[in-house]
Amino acid sequence: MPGFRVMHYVNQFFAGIGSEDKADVAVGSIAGPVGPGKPLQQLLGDAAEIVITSYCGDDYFANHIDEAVVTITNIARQHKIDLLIAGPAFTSGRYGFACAEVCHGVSAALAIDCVTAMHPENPGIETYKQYKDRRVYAFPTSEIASGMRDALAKMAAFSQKLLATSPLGRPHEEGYTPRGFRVDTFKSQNGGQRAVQMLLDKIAGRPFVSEIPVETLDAVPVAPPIADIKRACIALVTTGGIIPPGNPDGFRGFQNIRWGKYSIEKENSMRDREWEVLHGGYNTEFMKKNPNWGVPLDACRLMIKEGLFSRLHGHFYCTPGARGLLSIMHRLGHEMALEMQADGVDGVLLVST
Amino acid sequence: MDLEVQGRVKELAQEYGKDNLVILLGAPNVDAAQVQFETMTRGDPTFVGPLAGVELGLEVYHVFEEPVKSAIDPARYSELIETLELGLESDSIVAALQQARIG
Repeated sequence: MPGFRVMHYVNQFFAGIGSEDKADVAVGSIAGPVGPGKPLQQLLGDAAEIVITSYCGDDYFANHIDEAVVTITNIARQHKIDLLIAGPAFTSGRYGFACAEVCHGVSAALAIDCVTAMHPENPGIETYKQYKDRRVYAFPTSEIASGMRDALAKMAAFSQKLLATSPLGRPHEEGYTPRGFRVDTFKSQNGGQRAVQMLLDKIAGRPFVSEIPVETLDAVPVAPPIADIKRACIALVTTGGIIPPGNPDGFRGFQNIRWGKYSIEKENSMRDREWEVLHGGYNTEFMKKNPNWGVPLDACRLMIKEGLFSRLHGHFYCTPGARGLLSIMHRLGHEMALEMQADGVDGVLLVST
Repeated sequence: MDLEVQGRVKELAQEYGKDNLVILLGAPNVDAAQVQFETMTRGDPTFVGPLAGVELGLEVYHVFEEPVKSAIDPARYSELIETLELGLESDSIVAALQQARIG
């Protein structure tokens, strides 16, 4: 009987609960391996036993992140697990995000290793990199589920290594996505010699590996200027975390995945109404005293009177932007923009916080 | 691939025998075509459906492939399928299935 106990986390589909129609199912668990957990168990062999499979609906997780992670962590604790395997999630964004959050929560609470896998462009990879947990490892997968066997094999092999406390190589040796930890090592050549050698390799078309990978971001094309600003309709957008009292849309202080819009039709200043400010990235006291700093409604009303532009959109758009994942913010912005376009908005004022 | 469809194909394979079944796919893109092909041959790659770990090894074609096209009345093919063939990534789908058969 294997000595090590493993929990496998999957979403509602891989747990066999259902498809999108069951994406709102709450956290649950099933004894033993389920679905892809079965071949995973075969690959783990006698090294470990999947004693419990926990699952959660993708939508339920997204709307109850903290509560779901606590519940899943408690399941792991109750079953005295030694290691967590989550996924693989491939390109499923909600599932990948859930795997990254579950691994973060469980490894932090229980001080155990967690292994997950998803496509490199899955938004969950950004979460994984942001958390930078020493005991969480994410392996790259193919885009579609036909890469399942390969993904399971990678996760199982690495899990066996972790459980055996075998010495681990660098990410590119082990195959997992780097988390960004800097490790001191000795080199036989000094930095200048290595840099020159790298340059010679590059010029000669030989392969080389940069010691400091430079992250590049896609260039965002700049929109043309508004042709007639005096007749324009402007919308206000804030990432400063100004929200209605009681936080009815359930925002978090950081890493939000949704946006809200709130009416400012009847107001001439943000101080005409009560607002809360929720943002994990700055001291919000000044904003609470005067939310016009984040949503410059008072200034805009004045500018309209002065004829600087014609109309202010009746709602402002909001998401608390702290630690926002690039891919998520890209999606939120796109959704907001589609709605604004339909409403005849010509331009957006997004005040820096 | 839909779990109900997996279950039905499994029943048909048991009832009529694998050699008497041909699967015809109409998947609109490469990803769907590849996953469906794998499910019908090597088993459900997600390991969720009735064909999880079940290698039926069935003969699978996509409607865009030549053996199927040539079996259909050209006028009917032109009327019903040609527009779709032009609008979808048909060459990529056909190439992907040919590759899948070798691999």
